[in-house]
Amino acid sequence: MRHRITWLTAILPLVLLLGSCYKYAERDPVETPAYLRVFNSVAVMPDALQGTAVASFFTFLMDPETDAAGIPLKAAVMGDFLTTRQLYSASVPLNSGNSSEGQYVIDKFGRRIYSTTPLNYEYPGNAKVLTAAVINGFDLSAWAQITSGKHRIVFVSRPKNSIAFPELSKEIRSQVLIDTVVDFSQGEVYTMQILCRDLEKNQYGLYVRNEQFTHQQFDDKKIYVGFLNLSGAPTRQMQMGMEAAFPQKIRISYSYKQQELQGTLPVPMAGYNNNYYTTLTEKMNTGISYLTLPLLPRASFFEKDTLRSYSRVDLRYTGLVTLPHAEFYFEDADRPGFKMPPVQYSADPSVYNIYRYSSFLTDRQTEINVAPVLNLITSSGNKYHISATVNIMEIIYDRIYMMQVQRGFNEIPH
Amino acid sequence: MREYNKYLLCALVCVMAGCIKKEAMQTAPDSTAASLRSLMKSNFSFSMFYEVMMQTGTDSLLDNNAAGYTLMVPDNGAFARSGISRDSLRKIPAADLRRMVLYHILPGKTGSAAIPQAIGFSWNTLSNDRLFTSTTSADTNLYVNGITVIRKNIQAANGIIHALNNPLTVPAASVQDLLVQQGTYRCLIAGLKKFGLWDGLKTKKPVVIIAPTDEAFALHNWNADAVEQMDPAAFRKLVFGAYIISPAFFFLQDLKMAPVAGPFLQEESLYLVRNVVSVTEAEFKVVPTNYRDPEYSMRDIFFGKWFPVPFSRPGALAVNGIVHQVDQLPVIPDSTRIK
Repeated sequence: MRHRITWLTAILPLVLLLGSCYKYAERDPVETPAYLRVFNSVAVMPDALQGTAVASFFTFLMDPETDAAGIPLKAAVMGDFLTTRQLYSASVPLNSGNSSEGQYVIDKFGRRIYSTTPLNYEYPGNAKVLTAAVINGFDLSAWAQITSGKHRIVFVSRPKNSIAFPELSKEIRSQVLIDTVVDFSQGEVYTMQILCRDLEKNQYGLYVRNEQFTHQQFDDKKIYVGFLNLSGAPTRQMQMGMEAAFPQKIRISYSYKQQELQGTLPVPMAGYNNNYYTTLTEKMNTGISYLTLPLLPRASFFEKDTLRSYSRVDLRYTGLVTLPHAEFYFEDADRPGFKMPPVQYSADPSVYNIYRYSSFLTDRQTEINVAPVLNLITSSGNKYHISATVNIMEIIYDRIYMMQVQRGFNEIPH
Repeated sequence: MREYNKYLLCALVCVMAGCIKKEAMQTAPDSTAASLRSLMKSNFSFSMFYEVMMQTGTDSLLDNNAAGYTLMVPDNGAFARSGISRDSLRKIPAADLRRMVLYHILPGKTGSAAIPQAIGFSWNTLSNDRLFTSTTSADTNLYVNGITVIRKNIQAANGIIHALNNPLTVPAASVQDLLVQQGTYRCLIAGLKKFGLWDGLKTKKPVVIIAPTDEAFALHNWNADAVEQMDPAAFRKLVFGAYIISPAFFFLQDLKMAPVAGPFLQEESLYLVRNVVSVTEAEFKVVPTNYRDPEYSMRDIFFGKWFPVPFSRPGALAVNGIVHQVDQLPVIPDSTRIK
């Protein structure tokens, strides 16, 4: 009898404990996955006079359920509150709830527009979905797993508020900008973007790139940088130089600089002074021709055991960039030697750096020597680690979006 | 028996541990609200519009229990601001009055959150004419045909009311008709005809007409007769061509909501637009397309001065565009003589 009471005393709390706790259903594995990352690369603002009526705020839906009238209702794969992407994107999602900068978007005039309603800079971003594994040594946790095969892709223009897409009115849900079908192959990595095709006609398009960096061989001791021109048709204002934009054909050259003496300006390294890289003559290319730069010896990054400095992230800092860095120079290939004034400043490498939002303003000549961060410096175990990276620079009208894919993520840093 | 109990308990533990607990069901929100008729009847500030609805027999819509309606209701103050009295409403022909009332009503319940954040979003009204809403994320005010909504989302059981600052006007057949009906644009009409721009205004769309009044021309000693005497070969076409902005469709409030990033390019001129600090009006200026060339450098006045257009003047709507009246002459004809 005593044993029975002891037995019941032990079991009953266990029953209560296990019975009362919430059980989460496990997510089903994706059987034949492809990997997808989605950006909103539209940076226009509504302009009453030019007829730009759509704000850059969208919902991305894959294989949406529709009502009898064909209006999207909801989708199992959905990226809602999709705002203009950040200028810098790593291979890990940056908006996973730990932004030290707050929720803002850089507008056409270079101002930070803060938001009190939800914003997502990309899909999957902070969505709770299965993401890609490490492939070819790249950390691809910013790419979501989707079932491979053909999928209907829809982008809908939505208002900036806190109402989730399925609860929006049918008038809003019917604002479909993109409706197409894309075939995703198993095991492949895709980056998909909604882009402006023609600003004056309010035409938008989809750009899908099957990323090849998962198949290519990269040297551990080199930095890779590739440029693409994803601009749509220029407006008449752009053609007349009244609005900042990169030219139709872009000649790109570069210098690789480092500081030789303390307190002096960085100087180009031997063999890397204003070298010609390429001329982008075509738009919407999906193949990337990479420029390679050497990953310098570890000592180049330190001054007496102290890490050298990047350009400061705060405004109007005129201090020296002492870390090794690459500078890029852009010209209109159709007019060699001639740079349209607005382009000269907008095309500045500082646009790679998300903090340098003010560099879009055409009168900030003091900030033209800021360089993109190509050497990835991380810190763990009380030690700095210098990693080479693969960088894809996407030029879209007056902006350059930099996507940096981290390498050697699955290796122990040394 | 003890062995049996042990297995029974183990099975119970597994069952309890393995099942998924569902969320508790939420209680439905309280949806009791007054009917549209009750709200219209009991709200004194809506009495003029309610009387017109009764007069035209459209008040039966207020008792609808189906999908509901959205009423854009100008309050009594709105009628007063537009110079419309009860007497003047009674003098409007019944068919026109009914169409005017139906133009203020949308099928279905459309709260402000259900309206797309866009400039000039088009809706079909019960009168089968198009109505346009503007709202953006930066300016969450709601404008209907450029008219401010002063109270949004007055909820009824069978509809929603938005109160307007001014009554809406049913769109005219074309901007050409609007210019003729007003009777204050004789110089402009004569000029548009003289330079071969008039006929296109019947069908061309979307188009915005910046319309200087005859008084504006008179300030520079021009009248309709003088315009009719003009030799088209002796003047640049922009002397009247600059008044047609196309393709464009905007109410003046839209300029405040969606600030203009660059000038609007015409064939040989461009419009510069700026909002003044008081944000009560927009200012326009017409300059040559090549105004930055050395020929024009340092010149402040090309064809005319900056001219204001107050936001309180929403613009007259036609099926194919909008007419914005201006009191100053944007392009002084004498400045466009071909030398």
